[in-house]
Amino acid sequence: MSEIILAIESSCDETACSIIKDGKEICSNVVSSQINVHKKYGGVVPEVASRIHVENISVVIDEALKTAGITMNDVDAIAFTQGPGLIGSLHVGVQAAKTLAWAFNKPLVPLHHIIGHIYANGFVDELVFPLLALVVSGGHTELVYMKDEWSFDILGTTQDDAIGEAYDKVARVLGLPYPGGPAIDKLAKEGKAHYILPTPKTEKELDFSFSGLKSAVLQLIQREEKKGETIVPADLAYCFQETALDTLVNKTEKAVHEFKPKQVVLAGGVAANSRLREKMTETIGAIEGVHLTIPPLWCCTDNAAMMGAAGSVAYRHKLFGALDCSANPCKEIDC
Amino acid sequence: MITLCMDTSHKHLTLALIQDDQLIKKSMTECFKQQSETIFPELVKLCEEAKIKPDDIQEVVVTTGPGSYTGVRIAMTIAKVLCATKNIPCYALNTLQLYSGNHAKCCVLLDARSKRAYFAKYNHGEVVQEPGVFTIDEIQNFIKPDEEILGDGSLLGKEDNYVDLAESFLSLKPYWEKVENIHCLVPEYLKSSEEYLVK
Ligand SMILES: [Zn+2]
Repeated sequence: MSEIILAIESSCDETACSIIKDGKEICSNVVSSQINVHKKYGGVVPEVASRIHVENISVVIDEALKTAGITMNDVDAIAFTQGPGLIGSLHVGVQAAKTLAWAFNKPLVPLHHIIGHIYANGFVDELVFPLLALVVSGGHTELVYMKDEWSFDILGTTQDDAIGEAYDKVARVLGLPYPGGPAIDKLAKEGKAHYILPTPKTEKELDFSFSGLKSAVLQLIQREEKKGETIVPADLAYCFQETALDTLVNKTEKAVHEFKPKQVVLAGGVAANSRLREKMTETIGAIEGVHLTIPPLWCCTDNAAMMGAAGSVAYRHKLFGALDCSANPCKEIDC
Repeated sequence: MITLCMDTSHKHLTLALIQDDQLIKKSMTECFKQQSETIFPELVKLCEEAKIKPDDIQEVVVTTGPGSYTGVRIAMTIAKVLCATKNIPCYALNTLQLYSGNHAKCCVLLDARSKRAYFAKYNHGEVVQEPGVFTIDEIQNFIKPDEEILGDGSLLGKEDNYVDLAESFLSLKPYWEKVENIHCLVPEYLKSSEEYLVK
Protein backbone atom coordinates (compact mmCIF):
# COMPACT_ATOMS: atom_id res chain seq x y z
CA MET A 1 0.00 0.00 0.00
CA SER A 2 1.27 3.41 -0.89
CA GLU A 3 -0.16 6.73 0.15
CA ILE A 4 0.70 10.38 -0.32
CA ILE A 5 -0.32 12.78 2.44
CA LEU A 6 -0.35 16.55 2.17
CA ALA A 7 0.02 17.92 5.69
CA ILE A 8 -0.53 21.42 7.05
CA GLU A 9 0.72 22.76 10.38
CA SER A 10 -0.10 26.24 11.74
CA SER A 11 -0.62 25.78 15.48
CA CYS A 12 1.84 28.40 16.66
CA ASP A 13 4.40 30.44 14.78
CA GLU A 14 5.37 28.29 11.79
CA THR A 15 3.29 28.09 8.62
CA ALA A 16 4.18 24.72 7.17
CA CYS A 17 3.17 22.27 4.47
CA SER A 18 4.72 18.93 3.63
CA ILE A 19 4.20 16.03 1.25
CA ILE A 20 4.87 12.64 2.83
CA LYS A 21 4.91 9.33 1.00
CA ASP A 22 4.15 6.11 2.90
CA GLY A 23 4.56 7.82 6.24
CA LYS A 24 8.34 7.99 5.99
CA GLU A 25 9.55 9.53 2.77
CA ILE A 26 9.69 13.33 2.86
CA CYS A 27 8.96 14.56 -0.67
CA SER A 28 8.88 18.17 0.52
CA ASN A 29 8.90 20.00 3.83
CA VAL A 30 8.28 23.74 3.57
CA VAL A 31 8.36 25.80 6.76
CA SER A 32 7.90 29.54 6.86
CA SER A 33 9.14 30.55 10.28
CA GLN A 34 7.98 33.68 12.07
CA ILE A 35 10.70 33.52 14.69
CA ASN A 36 12.43 36.72 13.60
CA VAL A 37 9.20 38.67 13.78
CA HIS A 38 8.33 37.35 17.22
CA LYS A 39 11.83 38.11 18.49
CA LYS A 40 11.01 41.77 17.93
CA TYR A 41 7.85 41.38 20.02
CA GLY A 42 9.62 39.41 22.77
CA GLY A 43 7.35 36.41 22.26
CA VAL A 44 4.55 35.16 20.06
CA VAL A 45 1.74 37.74 19.78
CA PRO A 46 -1.28 35.64 18.70
CA GLU A 47 -2.83 38.27 16.41
CA VAL A 48 0.49 38.92 14.69
CA ALA A 49 1.06 35.18 14.26
CA SER A 50 -2.38 34.74 12.66
CA ARG A 51 -1.66 37.59 10.26
CA ILE A 52 1.56 36.02 9.08
CA HIS A 53 -0.14 32.64 8.66
CA VAL A 54 -2.74 34.05 6.27
CA GLU A 55 0.01 35.87 4.40
CA ASN A 56 2.05 32.71 3.89
CA ILE A 57 -0.43 29.86 3.66
CA SER A 58 -0.99 29.66 -0.09
CA VAL A 59 2.65 30.08 -1.07
CA VAL A 60 3.74 27.40 1.41
CA ILE A 61 1.24 24.90 -0.03
CA ASP A 62 2.24 25.81 -3.57
CA GLU A 63 5.90 25.32 -2.82
CA ALA A 64 5.35 21.99 -1.07
CA LEU A 65 3.55 20.63 -4.15
CA LYS A 66 6.13 22.02 -6.58
CA THR A 67 9.13 20.76 -4.60
CA ALA A 68 7.58 17.29 -4.37
CA GLY A 69 6.91 17.42 -8.10
CA ILE A 70 3.30 16.34 -7.72
CA THR A 71 -0.16 17.80 -8.26
CA MET A 72 -3.18 17.69 -5.97
CA ASN A 73 -4.45 14.75 -8.01
CA ASP A 74 -1.62 12.59 -6.66
CA VAL A 75 -2.53 13.35 -3.05
CA ASP A 76 -4.53 10.74 -1.11
CA ALA A 77 -5.49 12.76 1.95
CA ILE A 78 -5.12 16.14 3.63
CA ALA A 79 -3.78 16.00 7.18
CA PHE A 80 -3.76 19.06 9.41
CA THR A 81 -3.16 20.16 12.97
CA GLN A 82 -6.56 20.70 14.56
CA GLY A 83 -5.13 21.57 17.98
CA PRO A 84 -3.93 22.33 20.52
CA GLY A 85 -2.43 25.70 19.73
CA LEU A 86 -3.32 29.33 19.19
CA ILE A 87 -6.91 29.54 17.96
CA GLY A 88 -6.31 32.24 15.34
CA SER A 89 -3.27 30.43 13.98
CA LEU A 90 -5.03 27.07 13.88
CA HIS A 91 -7.99 28.59 11.99
CA VAL A 92 -5.81 29.42 8.99
CA GLY A 93 -4.40 25.89 8.64
CA VAL A 94 -7.82 24.32 9.23
CA GLN A 95 -9.51 26.42 6.52
CA ALA A 96 -6.67 25.72 4.11
CA ALA A 97 -6.95 21.97 4.73
CA LYS A 98 -10.73 22.01 4.32
CA THR A 99 -10.40 24.01 1.12
CA LEU A 100 -8.10 21.39 -0.41
CA ALA A 101 -10.28 18.52 0.82
CA TRP A 102 -13.40 20.12 -0.64
CA ALA A 103 -11.92 21.41 -3.87
CA PHE A 104 -10.10 18.19 -4.75
CA ASN A 105 -12.45 15.73 -3.08
CA LYS A 106 -9.90 14.24 -0.66
CA PRO A 107 -10.40 12.83 2.84
CA LEU A 108 -9.55 15.12 5.72
CA VAL A 109 -7.38 13.87 8.59
CA PRO A 110 -7.53 16.10 11.72
CA LEU A 111 -4.59 15.59 14.05
CA HIS A 112 -3.36 16.38 17.52
CA HIS A 113 -0.15 18.41 17.35
CA ILE A 114 1.68 16.31 19.95
CA ILE A 115 1.15 13.11 17.99
CA GLY A 116 3.04 14.78 15.17
CA HIS A 117 5.97 15.54 17.47
CA ILE A 118 6.10 11.92 18.56
CA TYR A 119 5.93 10.61 14.99
CA ALA A 120 8.78 12.94 13.94
CA ASN A 121 11.04 10.33 15.51
CA GLY A 122 9.86 7.87 12.87
CA PHE A 123 11.96 9.73 10.30
CA VAL A 124 15.18 8.78 12.06
CA ASP A 125 14.41 5.53 13.80
CA GLU A 126 12.02 2.61 13.57
CA LEU A 127 9.26 3.14 16.15
CA VAL A 128 8.72 0.12 18.41
CA PHE A 129 5.80 -0.27 20.77
CA PRO A 130 5.09 0.03 23.61
CA LEU A 131 6.71 3.42 23.41
CA LEU A 132 7.13 6.24 25.89
CA ALA A 133 7.46 9.82 24.65
CA LEU A 134 8.68 12.80 26.62
CA VAL A 135 7.10 15.76 24.83
CA VAL A 136 8.64 19.09 25.75
CA SER A 137 7.97 22.44 24.09
CA GLY A 138 6.70 25.98 24.60
CA GLY A 139 3.17 24.64 24.96
CA HIS A 140 3.67 21.11 26.26
CA THR A 141 5.31 19.01 28.92
CA GLU A 142 3.91 15.51 28.73
CA LEU A 143 4.77 11.88 29.18
CA VAL A 144 2.79 9.92 26.61
CA TYR A 145 2.58 6.13 26.64
CA MET A 146 1.70 4.33 23.41
CA LYS A 147 0.97 0.63 23.75
CA ASP A 148 0.65 0.43 19.96
CA GLU A 149 0.79 2.74 16.98
CA TRP A 150 -2.46 4.62 17.55
CA SER A 151 -3.02 4.52 21.28
CA PHE A 152 -2.13 7.42 23.55
CA ASP A 153 -2.16 7.56 27.33
CA ILE A 154 -1.05 10.72 29.05
CA LEU A 155 0.90 9.51 32.07
CA GLY A 156 1.78 12.97 33.24
CA THR A 157 1.36 16.57 32.20
CA THR A 158 2.20 20.01 33.50
CA GLN A 159 0.00 21.49 36.19
CA ASP A 160 0.91 25.06 35.23
CA ASP A 161 3.58 26.33 32.80
CA ALA A 162 5.07 24.27 30.01
CA ILE A 163 8.82 23.78 30.22
CA GLY A 164 9.44 26.08 27.24
CA GLU A 165 7.34 28.81 28.87
CA ALA A 166 9.40 28.49 32.05
CA TYR A 167 12.56 28.93 30.00
CA ASP A 168 11.14 32.03 28.31
CA LYS A 169 10.08 33.58 31.61
CA VAL A 170 13.40 32.93 33.33
CA ALA A 171 15.24 34.24 30.26
CA ARG A 172 13.27 37.48 30.51
CA VAL A 173 14.24 37.82 34.19
CA LEU A 174 17.89 37.30 33.23
CA GLY A 175 17.59 39.85 30.43
CA LEU A 176 18.14 37.19 27.75
CA PRO A 177 16.45 37.38 24.33
CA TYR A 178 13.42 35.39 23.12
CA PRO A 179 13.26 32.42 22.66
CA GLY A 180 14.63 31.67 26.11
CA GLY A 181 15.54 28.01 25.62
CA PRO A 182 18.61 28.33 23.38
CA ALA A 183 19.78 31.45 25.26
CA ILE A 184 19.71 29.77 28.68
CA ASP A 185 21.19 26.56 27.31
CA LYS A 186 24.14 28.53 25.94
CA LEU A 187 24.69 30.68 29.00
CA ALA A 188 24.41 27.71 31.37
CA LYS A 189 27.47 26.14 29.75
CA GLU A 190 29.56 28.88 31.38
CA GLY A 191 27.84 28.49 34.75
CA LYS A 192 28.50 26.37 37.81
CA ALA A 193 26.49 24.95 40.71
CA HIS A 194 26.55 28.10 42.81
CA TYR A 195 22.86 28.49 43.67
CA ILE A 196 20.30 26.03 44.90
CA LEU A 197 16.71 25.98 43.64
CA PRO A 198 13.98 23.74 45.05
CA THR A 199 12.96 20.65 43.10
CA PRO A 200 9.39 21.17 41.79
CA LYS A 201 6.77 19.09 43.60
CA THR A 202 3.54 17.71 42.17
CA GLU A 203 0.65 15.79 43.66
CA LYS A 204 0.92 12.98 41.12
CA GLU A 205 4.37 11.54 40.64
CA LEU A 206 4.48 11.77 36.86
CA ASP A 207 3.02 15.27 36.56
CA PHE A 208 5.15 18.37 36.11
CA SER A 209 5.12 21.88 37.54
CA PHE A 210 7.33 24.80 36.61
CA SER A 211 5.67 27.96 37.88
CA GLY A 212 7.10 27.42 41.37
CA LEU A 213 10.57 27.12 39.90
CA LYS A 214 10.17 30.40 38.07
CA SER A 215 9.03 32.12 41.30
CA ALA A 216 11.99 30.58 43.14
CA VAL A 217 14.33 32.15 40.59
CA LEU A 218 12.73 35.56 41.19
CA GLN A 219 12.93 35.16 44.98
CA LEU A 220 16.56 34.10 44.77
CA ILE A 221 17.41 37.24 42.80
CA GLN A 222 15.59 39.46 45.32
CA ARG A 223 17.30 37.71 48.25
CA GLU A 224 20.74 38.18 46.74
CA GLU A 225 20.03 41.81 45.92
CA LYS A 226 18.96 42.45 49.51
CA LYS A 227 22.25 41.00 50.65
CA GLY A 228 23.96 43.41 48.26
CA GLU A 229 25.25 40.53 46.13
CA THR A 230 25.22 40.69 42.34
CA ILE A 231 23.67 37.75 40.58
CA VAL A 232 25.90 35.68 38.32
CA PRO A 233 23.55 35.11 35.36
CA ALA A 234 25.47 32.11 34.03
CA ASP A 235 25.31 30.36 37.42
CA LEU A 236 21.61 31.08 37.77
CA ALA A 237 20.99 29.82 34.22
CA TYR A 238 22.97 26.68 35.04
CA CYS A 239 21.08 26.10 38.25
CA PHE A 240 17.64 26.68 36.69
CA GLN A 241 18.44 24.43 33.75
CA GLU A 242 19.79 21.59 35.90
CA THR A 243 16.76 21.69 38.22
CA ALA A 244 14.22 21.90 35.40
CA LEU A 245 15.80 19.19 33.26
CA ASP A 246 16.40 16.84 36.18
CA THR A 247 12.66 16.75 36.88
CA LEU A 248 12.02 15.85 33.23
CA VAL A 249 14.59 13.06 33.20
CA ASN A 250 13.75 11.70 36.65
CA LYS A 251 10.07 11.43 35.85
CA THR A 252 10.79 9.81 32.51
CA GLU A 253 12.99 7.29 34.33
CA LYS A 254 10.21 6.56 36.84
CA ALA A 255 7.73 6.04 34.00
CA VAL A 256 10.15 3.67 32.24
CA HIS A 257 10.45 1.50 35.34
CA GLU A 258 6.71 1.50 35.91
CA PHE A 259 5.46 1.00 32.33
CA LYS A 260 8.38 -0.88 30.77
CA PRO A 261 8.34 0.55 27.22
CA LYS A 262 10.64 -0.89 24.55
CA GLN A 263 11.47 2.57 23.24
CA VAL A 264 11.70 6.08 24.64
CA VAL A 265 11.55 9.09 22.32
CA LEU A 266 12.17 12.74 22.96
CA ALA A 267 9.91 15.20 21.13
CA GLY A 268 9.12 18.90 20.80
CA GLY A 269 11.09 22.14 20.66
CA VAL A 270 12.88 21.70 23.97
CA ALA A 271 14.22 18.37 22.67
CA ALA A 272 16.78 20.58 20.91
CA ASN A 273 18.28 21.51 24.30
CA SER A 274 21.82 20.15 24.38
CA ARG A 275 21.85 19.49 28.12
CA LEU A 276 18.54 17.61 28.00
CA ARG A 277 19.90 15.42 25.21
CA GLU A 278 22.98 14.67 27.34
CA LYS A 279 20.96 13.88 30.43
CA MET A 280 18.51 11.66 28.54
CA THR A 281 21.38 9.75 26.95
CA GLU A 282 23.16 9.32 30.30
CA THR A 283 20.12 8.20 32.25
CA ILE A 284 17.52 6.70 29.92
CA GLY A 285 20.06 5.49 27.37
CA ALA A 286 21.70 3.42 30.11
CA ILE A 287 18.55 1.50 31.03
CA GLU A 288 18.77 -2.04 29.73
CA GLY A 289 16.14 -3.20 27.27
CA VAL A 290 15.11 0.35 26.34
CA HIS A 291 16.01 1.95 23.05
CA LEU A 292 16.33 5.73 23.26
CA THR A 293 15.74 7.97 20.24
CA ILE A 294 17.00 11.54 20.31
CA PRO A 295 15.56 13.30 17.25
CA PRO A 296 17.78 15.44 15.01
CA LEU A 297 17.42 19.19 15.47
CA TRP A 298 15.36 19.71 12.30
CA CYS A 299 12.43 17.70 13.61
CA CYS A 300 12.37 19.30 17.07
CA THR A 301 10.76 22.52 15.88
CA ASP A 302 7.25 22.60 14.42
CA ASN A 303 6.96 21.40 10.84
CA ALA A 304 4.35 19.70 8.69
CA ALA A 305 6.44 16.62 7.85
CA MET A 306 5.79 15.29 11.33
CA MET A 307 2.05 15.90 10.89
CA GLY A 308 2.28 14.01 7.60
CA ALA A 309 3.95 11.05 9.29
CA ALA A 310 1.21 10.96 11.93
CA GLY A 311 -1.36 11.63 9.21
CA SER A 312 -0.30 8.53 7.31
CA VAL A 313 -1.02 6.32 10.30
CA ALA A 314 -4.34 8.06 10.96
CA TYR A 315 -5.21 7.70 7.27
CA ARG A 316 -4.60 3.95 7.39
CA HIS A 317 -6.83 3.82 10.47
CA LYS A 318 -9.43 5.80 8.47
CA LEU A 319 -9.67 8.53 11.11
CA PHE A 320 -11.33 11.09 8.88
CA GLY A 321 -12.85 14.42 9.79
CA ALA A 322 -15.87 16.18 8.28
CA LEU A 323 -15.95 19.52 6.51
CA ASP A 324 -17.64 21.13 9.51
CA CYS A 325 -14.75 20.41 11.84
CA SER A 326 -13.03 23.43 13.29
CA ALA A 327 -9.87 24.39 15.10
CA ASN A 328 -9.76 23.09 18.65
CA PRO A 329 -7.24 25.04 20.72
CA CYS A 330 -7.69 22.70 23.71
CA LYS A 331 -7.83 19.45 21.73
CA GLU A 332 -7.14 16.37 23.83
CA ILE A 333 -5.25 13.35 22.63
CA ASP A 334 -7.88 10.72 21.94
CA CYS A 335 -8.11 7.79 19.63
CA MET B 1 -18.25 31.73 -16.23
CA ILE B 2 -19.10 30.81 -12.62
CA THR B 3 -17.94 33.10 -9.82
CA LEU B 4 -17.91 32.21 -6.15
CA CYS B 5 -18.36 35.18 -3.79
CA MET B 6 -17.55 34.94 -0.08
CA ASP B 7 -17.78 37.28 2.88
CA THR B 8 -17.09 36.26 6.48
CA SER B 9 -15.79 39.54 7.77
CA HIS B 10 -18.68 40.56 10.00
CA LYS B 11 -21.51 38.73 11.72
CA HIS B 12 -22.93 37.28 8.52
CA LEU B 13 -21.69 34.45 6.41
CA THR B 14 -22.51 35.27 2.82
CA LEU B 15 -21.93 33.01 -0.14
CA ALA B 16 -23.08 33.66 -3.67
CA LEU B 17 -22.68 31.96 -7.02
CA ILE B 18 -22.80 34.22 -10.02
CA GLN B 19 -23.08 32.90 -13.55
CA ASP B 20 -22.62 35.40 -16.36
CA ASP B 21 -24.01 38.42 -14.48
CA GLN B 22 -26.83 36.41 -12.92
CA LEU B 23 -27.02 35.50 -9.26
CA ILE B 24 -27.79 31.78 -9.44
CA LYS B 25 -27.60 30.80 -5.75
CA LYS B 26 -27.05 32.63 -2.51
CA SER B 27 -26.79 31.88 1.16
CA MET B 28 -26.79 34.46 3.94
CA THR B 29 -26.66 33.29 7.51
CA GLU B 30 -26.07 35.17 10.70
CA CYS B 31 -23.39 33.15 12.46
CA PHE B 32 -20.95 35.39 14.23
CA LYS B 33 -17.91 33.38 15.38
CA GLN B 34 -19.34 30.21 13.81
CA GLN B 35 -18.14 30.88 10.29
CA SER B 36 -15.26 28.44 10.55
CA GLU B 37 -17.59 25.47 11.16
CA THR B 38 -20.42 26.70 8.95
CA ILE B 39 -18.77 27.86 5.75
CA PHE B 40 -18.01 24.50 4.13
CA PRO B 41 -21.35 22.80 4.88
CA GLU B 42 -23.05 25.93 3.44
CA LEU B 43 -20.76 25.91 0.42
CA VAL B 44 -21.42 22.23 -0.25
CA LYS B 45 -25.18 22.82 0.00
CA LEU B 46 -24.99 25.84 -2.27
CA CYS B 47 -23.06 23.97 -4.96
CA GLU B 48 -25.39 20.97 -4.76
CA GLU B 49 -28.44 23.19 -5.18
CA ALA B 50 -26.82 24.97 -8.10
CA LYS B 51 -25.72 21.59 -9.51
CA ILE B 52 -22.12 22.65 -9.84
CA LYS B 53 -18.88 21.03 -8.70
CA PRO B 54 -15.86 22.77 -7.17
CA ASP B 55 -14.15 22.37 -10.53
CA ASP B 56 -16.83 24.48 -12.23
CA ILE B 57 -15.83 27.56 -10.22
CA GLN B 58 -13.75 29.76 -12.51
CA GLU B 59 -13.12 32.77 -10.32
CA VAL B 60 -13.50 33.93 -6.73
CA VAL B 61 -14.46 37.25 -5.14
CA VAL B 62 -13.61 37.77 -1.49
CA THR B 63 -13.99 40.66 0.95
CA THR B 64 -10.76 41.96 2.43
CA GLY B 65 -12.12 43.69 5.52
CA PRO B 66 -12.13 45.74 7.59
CA GLY B 67 -14.08 43.64 10.07
CA SER B 68 -13.50 40.85 12.54
CA TYR B 69 -9.84 39.88 12.14
CA THR B 70 -10.48 36.16 12.52
CA GLY B 71 -13.58 36.39 10.36
CA VAL B 72 -11.86 38.11 7.44
CA ARG B 73 -9.09 35.50 7.51
CA ILE B 74 -11.55 32.61 7.10
CA ALA B 75 -12.88 33.49 3.64
CA MET B 76 -9.54 34.90 2.60
CA THR B 77 -7.64 31.72 3.46
CA ILE B 78 -10.15 29.72 1.42
CA ALA B 79 -9.88 32.15 -1.52
CA LYS B 80 -6.08 32.15 -1.46
CA VAL B 81 -5.73 28.37 -1.27
CA LEU B 82 -8.50 27.71 -3.80
CA CYS B 83 -7.23 30.21 -6.38
CA ALA B 84 -3.59 29.25 -5.94
CA THR B 85 -4.10 25.50 -6.28
CA LYS B 86 -6.79 25.69 -8.99
CA ASN B 87 -4.94 28.47 -10.75
CA ILE B 88 -8.04 30.65 -11.15
CA PRO B 89 -8.34 34.45 -10.80
CA CYS B 90 -9.28 36.12 -7.54
CA TYR B 91 -10.94 39.50 -7.00
CA ALA B 92 -11.04 41.58 -3.83
CA LEU B 93 -13.78 43.84 -2.52
CA ASN B 94 -13.73 46.05 0.57
CA THR B 95 -16.16 44.85 3.25
CA LEU B 96 -17.65 48.31 3.87
CA GLN B 97 -18.18 48.69 0.15
CA LEU B 98 -20.02 45.35 0.08
CA TYR B 99 -22.23 46.50 2.97
CA SER B 100 -23.00 49.73 1.03
CA GLY B 101 -24.89 47.64 -1.52
CA ASN B 102 -24.53 50.10 -4.38
CA HIS B 103 -26.86 52.51 -2.55
CA ALA B 104 -26.72 56.24 -3.27
CA LYS B 105 -25.24 58.62 -0.67
CA CYS B 106 -24.76 56.16 2.16
CA CYS B 107 -22.66 55.80 5.29
CA VAL B 108 -21.57 52.31 6.30
CA LEU B 109 -20.51 51.47 9.80
CA LEU B 110 -19.53 48.12 11.28
CA ASP B 111 -18.69 47.46 14.91
CA ALA B 112 -14.98 47.50 15.65
CA ARG B 113 -15.56 47.00 19.42
CA SER B 114 -14.39 49.26 22.28
CA LYS B 115 -16.94 51.94 21.20
CA ARG B 116 -15.36 52.28 17.81
CA ALA B 117 -16.54 51.39 14.33
CA TYR B 118 -15.23 50.96 10.82
CA PHE B 119 -16.72 53.70 8.75
CA ALA B 120 -16.80 54.83 5.12
CA LYS B 121 -19.09 56.70 2.75
CA TYR B 122 -20.16 55.55 -0.70
CA ASN B 123 -22.28 56.77 -3.56
CA HIS B 124 -23.40 53.92 -5.82
CA GLY B 125 -20.31 51.96 -4.83
CA GLU B 126 -17.94 54.83 -5.40
CA VAL B 127 -15.87 55.87 -2.39
CA VAL B 128 -16.86 59.24 -0.93
CA GLN B 129 -14.95 58.83 2.33
CA GLU B 130 -12.15 56.23 2.61
CA PRO B 131 -12.63 53.42 5.16
CA GLY B 132 -11.24 54.17 8.59
CA VAL B 133 -11.74 53.26 12.21
CA PHE B 134 -13.29 55.97 14.39
CA THR B 135 -15.01 56.48 17.74
CA ILE B 136 -18.79 56.54 17.73
CA ASP B 137 -18.70 60.26 18.62
CA GLU B 138 -16.50 61.03 15.63
CA ILE B 139 -18.85 59.10 13.38
CA GLN B 140 -21.91 61.03 14.66
CA ASN B 141 -20.26 64.20 13.37
CA PHE B 142 -19.48 62.74 9.94
CA ILE B 143 -23.06 61.88 9.06
CA LYS B 144 -25.16 64.41 7.15
CA PRO B 145 -28.98 64.41 7.46
CA ASP B 146 -29.59 63.30 3.88
CA GLU B 147 -27.29 60.26 4.07
CA GLU B 148 -28.56 56.72 4.53
CA ILE B 149 -27.00 54.72 7.37
CA LEU B 150 -26.14 51.11 6.59
CA GLY B 151 -24.59 48.34 8.69
CA ASP B 152 -24.58 48.40 12.49
CA GLY B 153 -26.92 51.38 12.87
CA SER B 154 -27.63 50.24 16.44
CA LEU B 155 -24.25 51.69 17.42
CA LEU B 156 -25.82 55.10 16.78
CA GLY B 157 -29.10 54.23 18.46
CA LYS B 158 -30.77 53.50 15.13
CA GLU B 159 -31.87 50.24 13.48
CA ASP B 160 -29.28 47.86 12.09
CA ASN B 161 -29.63 48.02 8.34
CA TYR B 162 -28.07 45.33 6.20
CA VAL B 163 -28.39 45.13 2.44
CA ASP B 164 -28.67 41.79 0.62
CA LEU B 165 -24.96 41.06 0.58
CA ALA B 166 -25.21 38.43 -2.15
CA GLU B 167 -26.98 40.90 -4.46
CA SER B 168 -24.42 43.46 -3.43
CA PHE B 169 -21.55 41.30 -4.70
CA LEU B 170 -23.19 41.30 -8.13
CA SER B 171 -24.13 44.96 -8.26
CA LEU B 172 -20.62 46.00 -7.25
CA LYS B 173 -18.96 43.97 -9.98
CA PRO B 174 -17.33 47.11 -11.48
CA TYR B 175 -15.47 47.49 -8.17
CA TRP B 176 -14.06 43.96 -7.98
CA GLU B 177 -10.34 44.46 -7.88
CA LYS B 178 -8.24 41.86 -9.66
CA VAL B 179 -5.63 40.31 -7.35
CA GLU B 180 -2.40 40.30 -9.34
CA ASN B 181 -0.51 37.89 -7.10
CA ILE B 182 -2.73 35.66 -5.00
CA HIS B 183 0.05 34.95 -2.50
CA CYS B 184 0.29 38.68 -1.69
CA LEU B 185 -3.41 39.09 -0.86
CA VAL B 186 -3.81 40.16 2.78
CA PRO B 187 -6.70 41.52 4.86
CA GLU B 188 -7.18 45.23 5.52
CA TYR B 189 -7.07 45.35 9.29
CA LEU B 190 -6.79 49.15 9.71
CA LYS B 191 -4.52 48.37 12.65
CA SER B 192 -0.89 47.65 11.89
CA SER B 193 1.01 44.74 13.43
CA GLU B 194 3.49 47.27 14.81
CA GLU B 195 0.80 48.44 17.23
CA TYR B 196 1.12 45.10 18.99
CA LEU B 197 4.67 45.94 20.03
CA VAL B 198 4.88 46.32 23.79
CA LYS B 199 6.16 49.77 24.53
ZN1 LIG C 1 5.09 21.92 18.62
